[in-house]
Amino acid sequence: MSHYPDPIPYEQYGPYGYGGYGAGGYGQPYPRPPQPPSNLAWAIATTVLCCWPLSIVAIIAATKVERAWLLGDYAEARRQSDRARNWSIASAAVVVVLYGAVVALGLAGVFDEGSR
Amino acid sequence: MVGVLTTAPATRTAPVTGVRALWAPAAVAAGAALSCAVIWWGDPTTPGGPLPVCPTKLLLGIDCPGCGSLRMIYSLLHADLGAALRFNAVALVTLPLLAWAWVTWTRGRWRGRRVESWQHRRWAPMIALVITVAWWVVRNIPVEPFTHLRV
Repeated sequence: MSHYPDPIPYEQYGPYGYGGYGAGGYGQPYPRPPQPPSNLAWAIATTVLCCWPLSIVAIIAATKVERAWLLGDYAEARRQSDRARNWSIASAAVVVVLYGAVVALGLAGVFDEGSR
Repeated sequence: MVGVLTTAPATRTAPVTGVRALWAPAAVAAGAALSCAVIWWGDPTTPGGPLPVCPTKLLLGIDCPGCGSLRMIYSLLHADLGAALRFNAVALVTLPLLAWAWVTWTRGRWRGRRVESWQHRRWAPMIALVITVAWWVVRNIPVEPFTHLRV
């Protein structure tokens, strides 16, 4: 799902340093998969600008991404990354729908003088 | 054992880079511009306007971490920094951070690899969570001087 390719910089090699489990005579290093994004900026943006109850869930998920990744639970890191993204999207969607409806009504003249 | 341990991760397809990768940052910029236009049009600083009050405030009567953000942006659009600070100081501070995140995100997409930014720091999510919850609590404490934070 990541937009970016999988470069394998040194810090992303196995949990026990360069080579990790796979080094030591077997030839191939054993790289970690890349750390998924925490999507934190989206979570923060939607907390202050959109629907905070959904965005708080996103921020909490964002806090769990790196920890899971560092512990080697890459599937969980990916899952929390996706949760952070999806709850942020939900938060933004609530506001877009709510305020989009308001603007549509406004353009339709519902808020004009005399119609209240 | 050797086979398991030396298995390379699944390779991903090369990302789109350059101009074609910029649709997402462009969409975000367009959305932000549209939001600013709506806020300018709706004037949330004048009660009774078309923009609805936050449902949290309407239903529970408390200020959420984002309450006042519309008025803050409206004040900022009218170059009234003092009023912007008054309506939601924390949200005001996050705006340059979000702008910076947008810039690095855009550069990363252009180059096809992640450009480091503040939100990638290890403690950034936890600090954001603590600040958000603290801000939420502090602006709802019903005694002086915290009552001045209510909007």
